[in-house]
Amino acid sequence: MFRISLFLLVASWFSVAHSEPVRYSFASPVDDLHGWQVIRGEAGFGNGGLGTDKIKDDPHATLLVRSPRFRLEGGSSVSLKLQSGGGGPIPTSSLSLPVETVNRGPLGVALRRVTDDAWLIRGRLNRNGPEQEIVFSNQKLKELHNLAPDEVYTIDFFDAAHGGWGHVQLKEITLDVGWVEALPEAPAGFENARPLFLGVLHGRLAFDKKELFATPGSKVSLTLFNSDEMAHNWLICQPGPKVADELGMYVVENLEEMTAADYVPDDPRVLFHSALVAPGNSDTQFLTIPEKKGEYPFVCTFPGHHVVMRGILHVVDTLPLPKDNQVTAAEPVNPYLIEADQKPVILRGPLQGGTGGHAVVCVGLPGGVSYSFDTHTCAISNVWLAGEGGFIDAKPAWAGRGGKALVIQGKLQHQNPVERKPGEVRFSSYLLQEDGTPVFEFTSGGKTLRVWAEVSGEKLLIHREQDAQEPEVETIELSH
Amino acid sequence: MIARIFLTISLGAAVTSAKAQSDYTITEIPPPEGVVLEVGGMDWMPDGSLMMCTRRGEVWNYVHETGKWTLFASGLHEPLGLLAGDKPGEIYVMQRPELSRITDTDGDGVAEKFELFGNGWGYTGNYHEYAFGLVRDDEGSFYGALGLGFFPLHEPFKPRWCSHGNVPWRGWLFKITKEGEYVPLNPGCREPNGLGLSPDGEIFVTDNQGSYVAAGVLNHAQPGDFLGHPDGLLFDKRHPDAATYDLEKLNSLRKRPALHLPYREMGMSCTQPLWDTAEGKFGPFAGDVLIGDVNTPMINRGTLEVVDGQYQGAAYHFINDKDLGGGSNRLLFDEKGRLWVGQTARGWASGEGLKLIEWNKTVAMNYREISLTKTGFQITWTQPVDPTTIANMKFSSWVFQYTGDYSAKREQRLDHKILSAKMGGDDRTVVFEVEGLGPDRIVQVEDAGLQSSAGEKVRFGKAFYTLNRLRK
Repeated sequence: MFRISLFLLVASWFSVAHSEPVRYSFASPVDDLHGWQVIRGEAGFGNGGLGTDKIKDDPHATLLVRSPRFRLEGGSSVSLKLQSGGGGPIPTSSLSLPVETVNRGPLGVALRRVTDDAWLIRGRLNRNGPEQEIVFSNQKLKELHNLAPDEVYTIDFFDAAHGGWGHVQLKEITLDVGWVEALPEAPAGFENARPLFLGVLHGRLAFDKKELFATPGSKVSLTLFNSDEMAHNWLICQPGPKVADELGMYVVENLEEMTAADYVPDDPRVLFHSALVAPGNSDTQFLTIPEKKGEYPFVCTFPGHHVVMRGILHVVDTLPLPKDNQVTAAEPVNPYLIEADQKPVILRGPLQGGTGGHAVVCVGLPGGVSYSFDTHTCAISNVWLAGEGGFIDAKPAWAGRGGKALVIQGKLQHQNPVERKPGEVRFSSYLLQEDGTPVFEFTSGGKTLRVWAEVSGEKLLIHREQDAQEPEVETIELSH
Repeated sequence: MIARIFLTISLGAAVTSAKAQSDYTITEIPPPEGVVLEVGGMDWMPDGSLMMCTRRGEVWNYVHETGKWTLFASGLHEPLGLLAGDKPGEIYVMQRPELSRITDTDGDGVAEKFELFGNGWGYTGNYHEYAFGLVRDDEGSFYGALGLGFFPLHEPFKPRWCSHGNVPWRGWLFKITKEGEYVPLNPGCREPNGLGLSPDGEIFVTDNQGSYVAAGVLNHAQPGDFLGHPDGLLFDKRHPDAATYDLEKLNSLRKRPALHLPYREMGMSCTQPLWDTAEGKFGPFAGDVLIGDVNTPMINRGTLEVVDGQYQGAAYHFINDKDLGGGSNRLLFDEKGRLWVGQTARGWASGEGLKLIEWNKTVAMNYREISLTKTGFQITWTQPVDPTTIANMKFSSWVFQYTGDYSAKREQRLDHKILSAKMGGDDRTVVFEVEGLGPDRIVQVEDAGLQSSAGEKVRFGKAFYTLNRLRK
């Protein structure tokens, strides 16, 4: 078998150090892609943001626009503003986008893992109409970073829909990420090579991928990022169950010779290899994938690493698509939903969505049971079950200038609009119990009263105690 | 590529033009991960830790030496003032509808008890009805001030100058005694985001530019003073006919601000006034009052003097540094003479979090103090001045229109000729005889090439003297 080692490019560009969050504004000035690339279709700016200028009902070419490449860091964040249509469900990969738009086709943005084109986080408007902010879950971004810190991503923006509200505009997007500079210039014939990235899992003697995929005879670039504290390389070998082991062992047994050769045995079974990549550096090779389908092992031959640090390059006719359960279909649109996750959460403010009030203490319990105590009427004014994502939407209170009402999220179970005469009751305090739930205290006609609530099975029990006598209990049935 | 994209700087022009200044160092203190630290109030606890409340209702404790953050309390209603209490583990917090006492009863560093300590004002849920604070006098009384609501489309109450609603005690500065009794003190505030207690124990309150408030202002509030915005008069028993008062009548009743911070030149939304009590550890301006700003990376400075029985004085740039960012809402000195800045600019500009300003022990060439004389001004600089350049100054003035419209015009502009400029007393002081000064004017003092004896130009050349009264 002949050996193809087309190009050897070792670089220390690795990644641009994390700097400041970058805000791309596509609303003004118009006609500037700010370095984003149009992959498919025709981009326009005629409707208040990046999109297609064809917003009538007619089908048109699908638009796909792609950000520069970046890596996620521990505290990375992605937030953006979309307007117009919400579109249909978003597929798991840009490879699944239709060539022409379809009625109720997908509209939105996605975080794309470059190597396998998986759309890992997908965002779209949850209603048609004015601008909405979409924030990718910081938790999810952090998980992805922890999973594979060397992984390379882009943001894809796409419009594959026509018909009523079958268009969307990206007004702006803020990316707080680590930027990856352009790959080394491709040699002739490799200008359209599909970029693949391998990284290293810190201190674990493992690549960040066990599998790579390519089609027979295709052109790819394979970049190794090495954020580990020791040197690594990769060799792609001929198929065979023992090839990687034998090449690895040869290195270990012939150390002197192999050190001089950067641990690459002169063996016809080595099809491609990287340079030896020092910590903090990277290396990119441009490859022509063999015509023969099969499972080609890739392995690090730094002495001793081959035992565990390896994977398989699958040469197959059709690239696999990520399955729905492999990608995280996250469409977090409102970062202001408040959820009682581990312990009770208390929020004070004006309240809307049930029996309102201006100075209300809202209590959300883990499990979703929620209630409010109005400090003017000194009564439990609402009982509800939290909705998807939280028990209160704090966006009106916190976003923009804020200061507006907290909004009940979920299913109201009970309302209690009490009328009081001026001075009839006076709120005094609340005291948090061991479990984090409050006992409210107020006075009325010289008497001291206490109110607290407690979940019991499918019921919420509201206790009212006057001057430390036996409390009355009101039972609110909860229907999920 | 990087050069072609926009960075997330969305403040006004004043921000982008601000450069780092060398006499003070600004350090950002990173908040705990994921926390939006919109600082509404802060104070030192007896153990030396910093307690701060945020507009999202959290109270955080921060120990600078160890970098440790602890969530002391959460769930509060947009608190905009905080003071340490009378014992460890106790704080007072100004929430929108009440002053609260919040206590860690079991000493675990987390609060359990949330008590209403004092209230008495109306609140309708309107976003503009802020409750600001918080200072405390020698007798233990707390002082706060109430912002007016903003109902631009449906005015519930309509004398011609009242477009902000009719809700009890909005627009008043008040105190709550140590027994918890609510005592309204001064009508006339608009959006008074900043209470200050002078070293002499007098109460000052800032206000934000808008109707009836011509610029950012610092008001000296003695009980009963009407501070300028008429809405609060509706609840003033001394003025049962307030709704019939015309502009002239209102103008005759109002107390003049001790300082004006002209809109744009000196920020746009002034915040807390804090006196420099660092006795020189924070630079050459000991005894001056510092005032933060929401919209610009500015902290301004003022010197006050009593003229004809009332405070007035000059406002100067102090910090105007991009590293500060916007939102400087609350100020606090530590024992080492460092200034802690709690920030939030929510919806009006960008900037939030905690910053620390330290003096570098260098003194830039600046105004130290501008003081009114019977015939003009006596100006002291921070460095010796070059006597051959002392005539290179300009004085001009205007009268701020008193109006219910949102922006007050600058009227009756005058240039004031310098009749004489003489070194006075020491090598830093110059006495200017100036033509044509009059009361109720803002005097713009501008350098036109004056230099220090070492050849240094004046760092911040423009200052504004609020000339309410002439010296008799």
